Amino acid sequence: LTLSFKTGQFQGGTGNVAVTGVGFQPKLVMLYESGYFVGFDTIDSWSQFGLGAASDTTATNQRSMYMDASDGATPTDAACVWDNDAATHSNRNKNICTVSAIGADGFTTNWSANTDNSRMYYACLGGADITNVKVGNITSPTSGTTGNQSYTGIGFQPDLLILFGSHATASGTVTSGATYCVGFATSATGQVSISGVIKDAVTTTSTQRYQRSNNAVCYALMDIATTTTKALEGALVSMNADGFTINWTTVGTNGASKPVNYIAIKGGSYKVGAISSPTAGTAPVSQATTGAGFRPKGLFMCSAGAVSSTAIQAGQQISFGAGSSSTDRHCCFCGENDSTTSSVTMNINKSAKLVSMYNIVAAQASSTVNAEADITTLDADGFTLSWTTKSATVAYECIYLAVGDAAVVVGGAKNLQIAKAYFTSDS
Amino acid sequence: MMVVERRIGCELVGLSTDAKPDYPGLIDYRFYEVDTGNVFYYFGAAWSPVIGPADIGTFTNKTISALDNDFSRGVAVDFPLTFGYKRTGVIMPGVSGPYLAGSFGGMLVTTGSGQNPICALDNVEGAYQNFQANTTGEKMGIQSTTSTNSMITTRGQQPYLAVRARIDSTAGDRLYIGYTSNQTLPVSNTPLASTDSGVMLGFGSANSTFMVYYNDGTTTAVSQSFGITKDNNWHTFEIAMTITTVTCSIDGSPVLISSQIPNVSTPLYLNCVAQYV
Repeated sequence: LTLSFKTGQFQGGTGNVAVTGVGFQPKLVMLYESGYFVGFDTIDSWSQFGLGAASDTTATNQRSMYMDASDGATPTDAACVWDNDAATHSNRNKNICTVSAIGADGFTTNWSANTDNSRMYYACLGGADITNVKVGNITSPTSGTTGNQSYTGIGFQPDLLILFGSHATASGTVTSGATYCVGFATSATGQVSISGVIKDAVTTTSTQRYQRSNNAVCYALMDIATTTTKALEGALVSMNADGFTINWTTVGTNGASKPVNYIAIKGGSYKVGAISSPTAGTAPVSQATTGAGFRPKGLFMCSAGAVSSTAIQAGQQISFGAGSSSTDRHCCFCGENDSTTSSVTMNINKSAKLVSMYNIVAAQASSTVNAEADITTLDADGFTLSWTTKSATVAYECIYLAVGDAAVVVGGAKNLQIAKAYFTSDS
Repeated sequence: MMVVERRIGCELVGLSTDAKPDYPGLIDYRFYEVDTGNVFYYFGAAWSPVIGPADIGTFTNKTISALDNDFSRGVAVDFPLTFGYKRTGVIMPGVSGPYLAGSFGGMLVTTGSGQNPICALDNVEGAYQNFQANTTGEKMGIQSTTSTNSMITTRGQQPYLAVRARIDSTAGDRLYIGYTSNQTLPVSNTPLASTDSGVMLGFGSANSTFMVYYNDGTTTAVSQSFGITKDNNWHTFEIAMTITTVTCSIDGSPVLISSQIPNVSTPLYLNCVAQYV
């Protein structure tokens, strides 16, 4: 049994656009983008990030979220969209696609709108190890209803949850203000998340980021009204036979009754964790991470471009990347600075990095990389990154999800395992 | 007959049968025995062999490069059955139980009910043999039982045992790796009774740390903690017996035992066993 993982890039079009070269039949297609408007690896204006997923070709089994904020705007102009029957829905209804076919070597996207010829990245998971995948959404509790909430109907007990969404509630409807969250969770002791917010229609930008790496939060939405407080926050309590349980610790008015997209997967090995960019040494600096417990086949990595903290920090940034090797990795980045009188934004799709973080300036093309890393190897117990750019003073925290083959199940209720033994005596 | 001759400098040459001169003025002289190849050095009181067959010593505290020395072809052992030959056995993880039947020279493989020990792969350790149990009271691992299915030795044979192993659950279970004079290791928190001789590493169900148990069969066995909390990680267990002492170690942390150890001639049976309590 194996798990297969592949990332790549393609460009949207009119009608069906086939994506081949995946090398296996995907059981999950994830689409993500920031710099969809211009060519790959080119800095552009606007902060914009989209993420979607499809487990099959049924549109109602596909979900996507998207958020953006225009550049140089006074007052600010920020929005987000949730779509419950599309794998991509970006740029305020201008680019919409579903995954319409899945084959032995890839998948086909069907574009009902494609104003921008979207530059897209994909991450595909497949292989016999993955026995179940479901894409859908739950709904956050009503305002003030905190505590454990169990969600059923998944049809199996997940080994992995990927949660993503925004505060947009009506499918396909552009909603003012930009929020987002992406969370990875395997258990109560294995969960990380990244969130951000950009307030709409204010004369001084109000943007924040919030990243949790300490297994305490699997999903959080910033309050679109205040930006500096949370409207929704929860932690995975357990994976259950037919779903999962989340302990909601914060449910404010702007976080209540919101769709929370999920990708639930059974089968394979998964590890969530966090690292920080090295400060010592001269780039490129190699950084090995161990403790996965298996050899990853693929890696997701996100960063809010800030140091590790449990607090909300000023400025919106997100890097979202995935990769399977030193030659197969793609990430997107976007951000908007806080407390400026005219919005300062940028975005980029990067085809040869796993994670990338920028110092954003008003002239987007002059923005400089704070830190970014490439995959060197996926190792027996983790992975090794090469930090091609790094800071000598700031350790930028990244959260990750490593995916790999299912563990070989051996033994019974109790097991004694002997790797080697040697005995000798004179006679 | 050869007469001792002085060659150049501080060098003397003669036969092994020649009387070597002996007076303080010969300090730093060398004596070459042309009929034996021995070379001696005079340090002021006597001639000390430095090269040749007469230079007998124990090769200790030296590192032999495995890269530069191929002992499989380059070392000849004289009289292997009486000098330098040792009985040696290994456990090499294989695909299934039958392969293990020959491990350690044919010891009985004890597993859970009707199940063969299977080979699996650990990302760090590599291949390992998994011995399983599903019911309380079952034993997992390599176990001496009868005279035809046992690995037997004595302390006088200076046995050495090294095992790299882990037990996946420590709660309430037992792990015993070592020797006992009892041909059948008991299912008990007391692996060595007062009449048993032996040395065992591991832990009983009531222990919180790894232990060493040892006894000479004359009194109550000693249970001594290694000070290492028991866990389900991989560990290297070693027991090295000599004529005078027993050295036990877990992951290189040694415990030296020099009293109440098995008599040099008491038969000892080897076990690498976990017990499902």
